Amino acid sequence: MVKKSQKQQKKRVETQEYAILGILSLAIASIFVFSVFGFNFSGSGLATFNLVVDAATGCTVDQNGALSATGGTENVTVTDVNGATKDGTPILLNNTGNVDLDVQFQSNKAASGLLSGTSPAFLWNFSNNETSSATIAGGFTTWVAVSTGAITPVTSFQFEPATDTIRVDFNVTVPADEPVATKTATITITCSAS
Amino acid sequence: MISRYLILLLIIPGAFAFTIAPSTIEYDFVPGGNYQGNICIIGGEGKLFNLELDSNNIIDKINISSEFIPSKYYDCQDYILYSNYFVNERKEYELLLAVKEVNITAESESGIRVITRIAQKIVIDATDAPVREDTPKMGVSIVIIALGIFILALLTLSFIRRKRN
Repeated sequence: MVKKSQKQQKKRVETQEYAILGILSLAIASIFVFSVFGFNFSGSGLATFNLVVDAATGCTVDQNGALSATGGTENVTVTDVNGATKDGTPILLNNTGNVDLDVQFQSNKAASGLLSGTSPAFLWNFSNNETSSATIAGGFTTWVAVSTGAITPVTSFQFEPATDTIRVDFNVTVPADEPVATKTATITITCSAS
Repeated sequence: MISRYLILLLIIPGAFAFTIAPSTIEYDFVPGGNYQGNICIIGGEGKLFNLELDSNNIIDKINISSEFIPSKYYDCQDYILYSNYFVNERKEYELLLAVKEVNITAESESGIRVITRIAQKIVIDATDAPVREDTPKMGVSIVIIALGIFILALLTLSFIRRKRN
């Protein structure tokens, strides 16, 4: 009876030892594999900080886009309900920092969201206001529909004073059957280093 | 008639002229890593700014106050980025931490509003990062290595016991 009890106790101790060994093995293996894959579990700031390019990013809207009934420019065009067009002034964007920029544009509304009448148009195009200020992506130098997705039509937007202004023109057609209402759209321009 | 499109073409920019620095920060990806950085606003003293990290699938969360009022001409705010453990694709990720001046008057106007944001570019090199497809491979590796260690430990234990007896 005593011998049987001793045997059972020995077996219990062995099982415990195996369990501890198994857990330890799993822990060691996990640490090894995770360290091979470069995991960080410590929670401390150990990520490698390679490089800071200490340059200032900045851009500002130099000029509002606005309707100008007497203006001679053809940058902001509105076609009214009678089909007559009115000219205005474009948005001028200036690189005010000391680093070249990529410029992202996003509208929260396309033509159909802005105007509810038949066949509305809400178009924009992009150009250099000062020669060679930026690279304008193909397709954006002519009138293109304003869309709600983010686009980056302007890249390598330079900061040198003689070549640091781009222009955004708008073309809006108000349909003849557009109900009278106050319309709102928001265009977000995001400038970041190239 | 005229007033209809006059209202429509009221294009209102968020008028400001500030810059941010540093313009670009580069990091190496560490699975589950923390990345400390800062963003400085130059020329925005006393104004209210909103900071937001554009959506991405590499950063789990960012520890930064979403609003910031610089108290001096060149004022900075520190932040910590927490990355995920896995990435969808091995590549260099570019994130934008955008700063926008909160201009309550301009943002409540009707017409076509133009909001300008200036963003710090955060580049994270994840060309050697573990991708999600690595998970089963890691699991198998752990099991095989654990089994090896376990067998080795058992053999050592039985050897010690034999020696004792």
